[in-house]
Amino acid sequence: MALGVELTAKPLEGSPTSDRDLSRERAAGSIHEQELRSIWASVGDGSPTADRFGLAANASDRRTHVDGQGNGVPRNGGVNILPPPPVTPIPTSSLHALQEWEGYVTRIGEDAFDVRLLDVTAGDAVEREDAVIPLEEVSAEDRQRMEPGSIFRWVIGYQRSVGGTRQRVSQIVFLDLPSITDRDLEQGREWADRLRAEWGLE
Amino acid sequence: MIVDSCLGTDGRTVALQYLDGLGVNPADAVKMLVATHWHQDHIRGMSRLVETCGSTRFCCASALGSREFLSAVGGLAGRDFSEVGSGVREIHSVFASLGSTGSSPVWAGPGQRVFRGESSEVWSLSPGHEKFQRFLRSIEGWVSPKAASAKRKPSPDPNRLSVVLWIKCGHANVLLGGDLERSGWRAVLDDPTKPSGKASVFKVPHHGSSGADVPEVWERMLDPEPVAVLAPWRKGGRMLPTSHDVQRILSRTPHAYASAKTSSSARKRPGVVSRAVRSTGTKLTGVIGPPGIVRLRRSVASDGPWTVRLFDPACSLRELAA
Repeated sequence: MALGVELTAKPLEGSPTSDRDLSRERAAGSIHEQELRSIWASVGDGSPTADRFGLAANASDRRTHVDGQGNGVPRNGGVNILPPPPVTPIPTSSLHALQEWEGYVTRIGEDAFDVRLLDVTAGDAVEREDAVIPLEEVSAEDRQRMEPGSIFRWVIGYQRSVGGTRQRVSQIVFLDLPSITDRDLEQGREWADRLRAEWGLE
Repeated sequence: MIVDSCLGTDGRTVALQYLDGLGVNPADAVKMLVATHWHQDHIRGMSRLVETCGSTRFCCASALGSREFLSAVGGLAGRDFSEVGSGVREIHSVFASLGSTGSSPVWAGPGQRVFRGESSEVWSLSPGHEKFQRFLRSIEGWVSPKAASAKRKPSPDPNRLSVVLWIKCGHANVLLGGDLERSGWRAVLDDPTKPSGKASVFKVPHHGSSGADVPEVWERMLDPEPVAVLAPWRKGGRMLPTSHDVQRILSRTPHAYASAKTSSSARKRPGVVSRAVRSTGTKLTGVIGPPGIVRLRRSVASDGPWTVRLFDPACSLRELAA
């Protein structure tokens, strides 16, 4: 399963939440909240559900053509392809971020790990804050994989469930990418050879 | 000449800010840029310097021009996606800029004169050939499938490849120690091709750490009680220089300065955030402040002493110890 995260930095609009702390802070004008919308990919083909419907609609368009009388005619041997079912928005929970860091692991101890943090919320340009985070804050799977140098996002905020209840959350997500490809390596070699030729190193 | 680069807390390149404050146009005044090695705390903003300084020559360790290193940088640059990345993107931008202008870097190594002006010369004293070979072997690991996960690179320690500079300007010599550690200094001391003389200013290597301290460097390459300058470093609970390091350096010269203070307090945040952080059991252990400046000036023509001026939060090493 893959996770796509879309971040929109903006002051929170609309009615205040019921939380007293949050209302007080916002009334004082001291914080801007970040709305973090997580789109969890569907299990199976890895594509978001809405996209799958979108692709289906396009596929339907591509599989018909217009005959001489202007009638839509299916291309595939006379089989009519039904239009996709109407899309019903799937209720999802949302996370309102109060504070967000990007960071990397500098040391892993028995019960906690040291990190260097860049304060995304404050708009820092460089990482300049240190922290010691209990290992229990990360999943068992991430604990197995993390090592000095691993990069993560850490969000503190409020999660609103589908039913409307709200909960304070701290979420650490380690960033991961597919392995480097042969194409990446080939491009790197081409770039290196071009530079070295320009510099007279060949 | 600008040696290495770092960013201020506002994201601006510190060296450019300094020159701007003096009313100096970097495109006209800067003759050479040097990247001693590619740790983030030494090269952040370097690509901006290369662009701003126009036709200025760029100098770095010759190993960074190897096919192995450039291939790795070219292959990994698109994957250094994080703001806290390790500088692959930065070095890629530097080399891409140089490539587009057809400007070849000046390659640093032992006993190489990398710049010659009317009354000045700059020599590189390191890194040596043996460090070059070890560095090339270590690159292989960067592009393995296991290493390609979202991890800062490089895992190998590029301090091995740090460039040490010897600057001759009029009657004065200056030794800039980069981050070279002990074994590298042994090679420098044994190199017969290095310039002769003793330096009156020493940029103490590797934040004053004991791992970069070689007494013979002070005895054979430096004047008695030279002006010594270092940049403190901290990560997690670890800080450099340690109190032992400070005492050791002060035992060799009273004229020692630090570009910043290491003490810091936690950042102030809205109560709701602070409470949420505390509830996770996390300890925010402090914020690194903006970099300061230690300015040393001396007439090129005379043999007079160095005039020292400290710009906040730079301080004397005694103050750092206190």
